[in-house]
Amino acid sequence: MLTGLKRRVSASAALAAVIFLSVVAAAFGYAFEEYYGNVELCGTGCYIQSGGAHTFTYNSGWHTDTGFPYLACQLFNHEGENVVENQSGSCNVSRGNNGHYVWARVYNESGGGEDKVEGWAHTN
Amino acid sequence: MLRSIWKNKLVMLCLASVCIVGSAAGGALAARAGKSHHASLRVPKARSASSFATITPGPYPFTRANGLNPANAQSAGTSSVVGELKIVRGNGVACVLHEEDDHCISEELISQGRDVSVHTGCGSSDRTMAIYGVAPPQTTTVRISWTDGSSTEAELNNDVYVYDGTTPSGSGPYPTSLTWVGSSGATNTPFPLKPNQFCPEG
Repeated sequence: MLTGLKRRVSASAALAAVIFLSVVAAAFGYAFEEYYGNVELCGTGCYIQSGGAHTFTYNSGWHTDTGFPYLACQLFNHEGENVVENQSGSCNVSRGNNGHYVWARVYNESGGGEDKVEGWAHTN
Repeated sequence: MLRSIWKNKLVMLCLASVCIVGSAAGGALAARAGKSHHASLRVPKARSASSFATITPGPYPFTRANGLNPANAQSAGTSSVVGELKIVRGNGVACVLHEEDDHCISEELISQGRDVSVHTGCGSSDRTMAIYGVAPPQTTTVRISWTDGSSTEAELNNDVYVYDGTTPSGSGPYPTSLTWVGSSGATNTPFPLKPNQFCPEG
């Protein structure tokens, strides 16, 4: 499934990062935010994904190397919520805050491989 | 009373200490995990993919990363799907804003007809779609062609085009291309999405 996810983050480091991110998020007025990815993705259909589901209302993705890949930002869950925004070079998608937990993903849709892609999702 | 104030100050001091220690520890461990920029976003500038800008999180991150002020954005029509659209130009890029979202693209790519954003509702209750972006210079009409041979015209306001419709599914029809009509003729851009890309697996 996670074809493009090449880097693994240890559980302890991820937990510490979540604590740190919560502090940072609070400073910017977000209850929670998460950075994810920053890895090279293979071509069309490969994606990076948030570490877990949360009440995300905003998800953004961008490439961090040369070129302008076509990207898709997605917020979804398995209970029928699914919103997607496709854009060149970077993408943003948002949804209303209904308290439901959703996952955040960024897809590479450009067809070219090895684009380094990063994501940022946050709650209100 | 005095004792209560001191007690409160002590609690505040302890909380501050926990935050500082937590941030430092979190930062150190996060760096070990390969993430070194939690307090800011390092995003590419739209004009040159090889140059980056570091910005603080908040609304319209890409507009700000390109040195443009979202407050200077001008109205560019309204979509029933993504709300009011705004545009701000400068530094060789154009950024389109709606709600808290934005995207920026170089004027060079715009002139090539490469700015095609597609918002798709793929859930059980939301199946709305908006196709929008910045049209190439001197464009007077934007047409979207479909797999069934039909074509529809997008609204054009302040160089921003938008088409509101329904997310295609099953046998379609699906958009196949955009045609930019201007005084000097018409050019085409193939639609950037294949049928299976409108709604990625959720």
